[in-house]
Amino acid sequence: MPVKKPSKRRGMSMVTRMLLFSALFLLALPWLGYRYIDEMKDFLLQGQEDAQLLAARALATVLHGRTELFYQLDGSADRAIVNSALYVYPLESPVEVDGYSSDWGEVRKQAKRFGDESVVFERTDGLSRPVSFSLLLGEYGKYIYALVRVTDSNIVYRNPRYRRLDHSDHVRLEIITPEGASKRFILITEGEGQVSVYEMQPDWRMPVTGKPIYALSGIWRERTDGYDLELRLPASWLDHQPGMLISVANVDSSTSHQVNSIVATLNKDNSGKLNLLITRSPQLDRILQGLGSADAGICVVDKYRRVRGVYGGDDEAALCSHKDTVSGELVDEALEGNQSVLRYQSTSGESMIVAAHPVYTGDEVLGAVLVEKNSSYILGLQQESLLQIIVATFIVFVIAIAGLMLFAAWLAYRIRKLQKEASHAIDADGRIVAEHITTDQYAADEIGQLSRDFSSLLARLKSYTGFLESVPRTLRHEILNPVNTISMSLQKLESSNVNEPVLNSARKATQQLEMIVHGLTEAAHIEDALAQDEYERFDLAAMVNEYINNSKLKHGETRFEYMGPESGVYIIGSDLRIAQLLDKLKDNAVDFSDDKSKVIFELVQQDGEVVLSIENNGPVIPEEVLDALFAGMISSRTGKHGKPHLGIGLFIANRIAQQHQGELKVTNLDKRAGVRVSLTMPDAS
Amino acid sequence: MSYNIAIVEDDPQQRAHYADALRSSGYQVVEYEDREQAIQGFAEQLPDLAILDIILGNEVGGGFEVCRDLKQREAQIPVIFLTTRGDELDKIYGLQLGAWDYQTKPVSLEFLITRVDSLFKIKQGNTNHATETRVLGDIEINPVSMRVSWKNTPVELTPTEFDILSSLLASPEGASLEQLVKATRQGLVEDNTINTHILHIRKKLKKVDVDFNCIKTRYGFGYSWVCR
Repeated sequence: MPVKKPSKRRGMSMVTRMLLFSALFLLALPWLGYRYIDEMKDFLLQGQEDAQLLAARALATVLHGRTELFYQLDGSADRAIVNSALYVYPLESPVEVDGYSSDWGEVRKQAKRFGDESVVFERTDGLSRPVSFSLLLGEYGKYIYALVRVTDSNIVYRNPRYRRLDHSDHVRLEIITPEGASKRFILITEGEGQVSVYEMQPDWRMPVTGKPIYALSGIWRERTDGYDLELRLPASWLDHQPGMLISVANVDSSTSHQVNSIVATLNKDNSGKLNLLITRSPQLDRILQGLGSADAGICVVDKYRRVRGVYGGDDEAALCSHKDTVSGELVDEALEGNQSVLRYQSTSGESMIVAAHPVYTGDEVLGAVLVEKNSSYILGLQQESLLQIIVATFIVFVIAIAGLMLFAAWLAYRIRKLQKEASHAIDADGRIVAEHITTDQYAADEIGQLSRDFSSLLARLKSYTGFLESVPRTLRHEILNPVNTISMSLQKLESSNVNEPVLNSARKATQQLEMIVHGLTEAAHIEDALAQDEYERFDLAAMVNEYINNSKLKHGETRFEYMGPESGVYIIGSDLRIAQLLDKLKDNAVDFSDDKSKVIFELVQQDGEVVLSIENNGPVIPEEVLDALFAGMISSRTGKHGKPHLGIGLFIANRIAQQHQGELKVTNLDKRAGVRVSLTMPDAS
Repeated sequence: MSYNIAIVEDDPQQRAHYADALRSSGYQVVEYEDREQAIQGFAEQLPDLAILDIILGNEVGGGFEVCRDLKQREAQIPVIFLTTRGDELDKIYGLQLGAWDYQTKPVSLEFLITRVDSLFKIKQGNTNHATETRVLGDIEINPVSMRVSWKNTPVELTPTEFDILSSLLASPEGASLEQLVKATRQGLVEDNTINTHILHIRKKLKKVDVDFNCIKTRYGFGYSWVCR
């Protein structure tokens, strides 16, 4: 049977498998890197927390027992006073007293509002609701600044005709002198701009002297819904007693000139008292300046959570800057005597770490130190490392993949080369055409071993094939020698008087024996013979024509017919071989055709090929043996002349066709009983 | 004078047949069984003609070796090879062993004797050639001396080739393969063997005349001599 080519099985190639496999492992690298960086981040943050706690503790130790820095209220001071204390914000730059609030900066948001709950006086027949105002206090250098924003839909200015000063809208300010007496100032104006300041009598109606006070100055500026009053007073006025009361008196009618309501910074229940002023401790700030570091914010709060000292700006001390009090669990914890750490996200989106530590005096908690630090750089570091890892991984990935690809391609190339050589070592008919495999024959690896194994396999196969090929030759020699002896013996017998018919049958039998042996050996030697043929271009049509004409003479009983051109169909090959091929096909056709039947030769040129077919109407060939017909030794039919029919003819014919780059095909005829053998060869016309 | 013929054949029965036949024709025969014996024997006495089997025992080309040895001693000694197949002809040609002829097995004893006789006749060379010579166009052929010349140039042909050529020239209608096989007067000869002979005859004639083109192949039939 013809050997089928090994079928190709589809699937992942070796290269793909290898790459996929290694990619899986390579992909673990960035994940490991990520895990490592994440751990590192946690470690760094933890370290940062510890460092900050340590710093907070150090600061707390420095501030231990320094009660003066925290401005202790008197033990008798009641809750209301403590709660109503006014916080004086330290300003980053001097404020220009011009009635505009824009130069107050960030602290503007901290303005404190006073309204209904702070009404200290209200006329029962009042025409309008009491006004409200917001107050902002600041400190810069030797001055204390205040910004009073009053909401008043009806501003009544001073009429200079009246001596009394309580006939128009005005702002009152009360402080205590070093002697312990109250000092009252009125800020009043006849219109927008510089206000007049007078020291007032306790009834707030007439000035004490009528002489304006210049140390305290202010600017009045109107708004659509009220007015702003920005004022400035020397900080020295409050050195001995940091207390102050600001109230806004509202006059709604320029005709009745009556004060309708008064709203103060301290409510009715505390009349006669002043608001406590809380200022940052300059001493504390100095200490913090000395201890602070550039990238950390420090914040010291007293036990009322009021910010007493801040080091660092908005970014560093985000929790405390521009605030009067700090609230939150962290501060609560610290004020209860426990240190604690917190991570949080600041309003500007930065990751912050804040550590809090209590400050003691004896057993009592005096306040707390908060140390704040921006930890975004750690996260930034993390992201940067991540990026580096990703880049590094990518590079490693690319290099590794490229390396693997190269390696795999090299392997695949070698294997493919080996496979190609191996598959070409034996031709389609199973003949060994290569002595050994040269691909990688000296390589030390598995492929080299495979190559050498293949070579030794080939060598063994070749020796076996050689043995098989030598069988017919040996057989011929071994059979022909006795045949020769018999033949010569018979020749000798001829001269003596022997029974002629007996002699004849013996002669015939030896001849048949010879034919069988020749038939067997012809197939075995066709390869050598074909290899020696000389090829030339010749006219196949003319040859076939002549061949048929001669065959007609030779086989009188069979009719030959030819369909095709008389001449001019050229092929390249050996004319004698083609004649031999025709002999085989013709003999077959004649052998198997019915008596008085036709053998039809047909020659056509199509698509660059020459097709010569020979038809006879003998018995058909079973489909299952059609393919195997050319393998030799197969004959599905019995010849009509009783000649030995080994089927070698078709084998030889097929070899000749193959040698001419042609193909021989046997088909059964459809309509009538018969067989068509067609020879297809390249057209050289 | 009686000629001395050496027979080298490993099969004793076949050897005995050849020897008997030759002896009864009046020749002296020396029999050798294998190559060594033969070469040893030639050293002592050179034969006038040698009949060599190609396969001697296990030596597939033993006959060729013996021939080579013999030709080294005396190049003019005629040699007849005994082969089992026509395709060994090419091998014999290829080895360029000098003057030779061949017989295919099974051997016709009758023809073997005739061939030996004619080889000695040629060797004697004392026949009157001129009277026997036939001329057909440019070719001259002498059936007695087995000499052939083309346009007056001698062409060396083996006895078998000579027989085939004679048969071709004798058939104006062309000679069929069967006729040519018969002409070789040998046992079973295949068509292909005749083809090989024709090829060699053409080659030899082309050697003396490049334009030689007188033998035409007649496909499915045989060959014909067209220069008449």
